[in-house]
Amino acid sequence: MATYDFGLLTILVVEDNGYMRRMQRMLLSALGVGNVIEKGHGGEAIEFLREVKENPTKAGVSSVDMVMSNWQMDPIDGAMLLKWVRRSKESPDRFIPFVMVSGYGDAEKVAEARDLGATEFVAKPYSVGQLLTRLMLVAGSPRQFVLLDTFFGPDRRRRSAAPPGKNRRVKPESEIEIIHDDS
Amino acid sequence: MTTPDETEAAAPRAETKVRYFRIRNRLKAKTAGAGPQDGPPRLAGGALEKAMKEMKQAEEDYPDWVLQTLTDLMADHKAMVDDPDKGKRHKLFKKISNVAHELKGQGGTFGYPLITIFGKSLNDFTLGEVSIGDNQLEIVKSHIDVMRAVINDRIAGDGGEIGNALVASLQQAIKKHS
Repeated sequence: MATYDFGLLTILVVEDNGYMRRMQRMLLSALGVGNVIEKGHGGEAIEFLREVKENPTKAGVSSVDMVMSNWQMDPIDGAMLLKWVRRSKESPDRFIPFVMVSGYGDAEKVAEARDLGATEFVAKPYSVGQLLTRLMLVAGSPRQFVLLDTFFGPDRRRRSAAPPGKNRRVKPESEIEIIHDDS
Repeated sequence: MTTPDETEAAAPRAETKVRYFRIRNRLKAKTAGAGPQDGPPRLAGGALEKAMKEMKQAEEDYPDWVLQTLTDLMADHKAMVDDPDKGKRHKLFKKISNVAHELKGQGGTFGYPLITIFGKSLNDFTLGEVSIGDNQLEIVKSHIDVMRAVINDRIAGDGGEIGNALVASLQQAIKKHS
């Protein structure tokens, strides 16, 4: 069984509700996360992430390891933040793990988050165990990223077996390019 | 490593339709996670136990926070009763809808699933309503009342018979004013 130590991680928590934000910070800290940064909505998070890229000294961190964002927020919600992280040239890391948190836990919403490029989805209300499971999934089970005309994000197929029927789409090798990061 | 931006700029092969980026898992290296993920979660230094303890404390503080939130909701409700201006009412309805959405998301986390149920009901109701008259305001008030009952009496879990009675009383109020 794997043993985890989150002490070296920096996690950006984006949540507009002060009570929930403090609770999330408290839980992550208790789970051993070394650095938890809080922002009140997507706009503040974008501003901060931009600063991490342009002036890490001023931002106070050299990198962010994970974003954990609420979906429903004003004026910039979690979906817009996720789009910015994945698609903007100003994003400090377009591959950053992004955990979407939402009170709407229906399958449609989960699929929408996945199609926007979310790494994991946490439905509210959640337990300590559920939060921990997502953290461990992100840290221990990375997925390749896929770039298509219409999508950029973690591979939406988690299983290696091909899906059945119409969902099975196979591209010829000539249309596939695999880019490895060996750094 | 080549980034998606760079690959776009680097004039890819014309026939390429999909690119897979197989990146090194830096998080795994940082957290030292290794081996299969089956079995219960295991964290260094008893962190899970600490988190559970913190959660317990948060559960104890939660009712005070909800009561304050419900007091604020009552003030918003009163403001709508006092002022029939459509624009103001819609603005406050949207505010109540957002608060209800948060209550829905929190209740179960802190051991009060009835708050999640009533928060969801209020959120659904305020999202759907276009005309805000006396009946709609009564339905909002009924939601606030049952949530106050849950918190005042510290009705954790499903609340058993009392919980069922509260759910039934809310359903009756909705039916009466719909």
